[in-house]
Amino acid sequence: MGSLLFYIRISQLSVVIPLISGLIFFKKLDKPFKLLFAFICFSALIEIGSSVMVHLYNNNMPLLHLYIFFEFCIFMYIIHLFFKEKKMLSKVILISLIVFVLTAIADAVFLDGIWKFNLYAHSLESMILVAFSLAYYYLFYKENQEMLVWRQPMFWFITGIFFYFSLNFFFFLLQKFLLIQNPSTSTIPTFIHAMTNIITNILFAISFRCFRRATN
Amino acid sequence: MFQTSNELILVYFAGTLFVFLLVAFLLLYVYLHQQKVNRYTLRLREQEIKKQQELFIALHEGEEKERKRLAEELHDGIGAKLSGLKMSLEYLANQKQLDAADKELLHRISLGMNESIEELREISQNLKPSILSNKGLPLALNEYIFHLKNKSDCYFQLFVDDFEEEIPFEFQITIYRIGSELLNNIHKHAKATHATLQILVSENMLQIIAEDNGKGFDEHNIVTGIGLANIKGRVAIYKGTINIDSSVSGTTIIIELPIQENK
Repeated sequence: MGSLLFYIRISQLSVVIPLISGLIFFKKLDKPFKLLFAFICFSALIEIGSSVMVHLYNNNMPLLHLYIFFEFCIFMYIIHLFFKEKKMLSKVILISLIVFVLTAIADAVFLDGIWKFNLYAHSLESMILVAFSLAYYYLFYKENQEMLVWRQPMFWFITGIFFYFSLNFFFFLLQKFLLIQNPSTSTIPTFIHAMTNIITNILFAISFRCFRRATN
Repeated sequence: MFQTSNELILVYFAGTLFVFLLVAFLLLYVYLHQQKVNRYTLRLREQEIKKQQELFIALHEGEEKERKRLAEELHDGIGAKLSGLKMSLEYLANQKQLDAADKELLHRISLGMNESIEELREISQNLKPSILSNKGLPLALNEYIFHLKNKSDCYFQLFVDDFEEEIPFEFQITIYRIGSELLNNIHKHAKATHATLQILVSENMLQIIAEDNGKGFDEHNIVTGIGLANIKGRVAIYKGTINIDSSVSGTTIIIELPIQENK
């Protein structure tokens, strides 16, 4: 378990990568990516808060509830800014947001409770974000046949989301059984989660780096 | 829900593997599509460059035709009329009834006429260097230097490799234009006392090297005049490169033009 804890710590520390990248290119970032940078700062604070809570209460789930709530809202707002000219998609985003907020509240109050892993909110978040990531890829290739995708910050952001939430969907869905009921089976899934988190943070850092060409 | 932990881990791995394959497939598609886009963009750019080159060459050919027409107009039209007028003046100057003051005046007019005819011939020669087609590039450039020597304190030297048969005439005109422009720039701006122009051929590459011991110029700070811009334009048309090294003790300009591509 020692080495797994090491990977978890590395995964927590990896938030520093987009934080530094965002700081370097902050002046050149546009509105959605300034928001993403604010979220990265918030994530860093949550990571610190989680460690403190684990130390004090041996449980950091209340912070996870809060984190998931903000994560989803901010990611959806960034996606909404990208899709704002698509009226239909904007409506779907709004509906998704309402459904998610209701689920997250229900999860925290009635279903799992604030001290337990928010299985429903987390799984729903993963499904919705993966669906919107796929919508992004589809629309991007439908409308921008000649554009170099590597230079699009949104591409790296969406790829980060897609990578993290799709690969961890089963991890979130089976979290209760994996971690709580059968802790012995959770080593590899936890390791995969840590790795995907690191990769996602790197992808977010690349999305900030795309702004190096932009001029204010 | 799950009977054993093996069953649980199987569901997790099967699900995650499936998703992983989907992610990998999608990212591979993105990668391959981008490669395709890159190739397409590159091809478009090449086509654009080719089209521009064709346009430049057409313009260049048009310019040469226009120069030729102008040269002929000047030489056969105004030149012939001026020569006729000069002859009339000489006839008039030889009339016995004219007094000394009038003869002096006519003599001065005749001298002015001579200078005008000479300048006209020079302009006509520059516009259409017939000597280039008659006697070849080295003699044409020599002729150009001969005219410059009359007007300049600079000592000009010329070295030209023997290559005329390998190079089409249109390309030779370009070399002549670049060479004469370089010489003219030295004459007008460099304040040099010694300058050389070399035209060398080596391994499918033609080099035009102009060197002078003049005051030099800052390539980045000069307001690009028509002369240097013309040279750069001609070099670009023929897919060449230009290298300028200038300091207060002189300037070296090396122009390289591929021969094979311009045959």
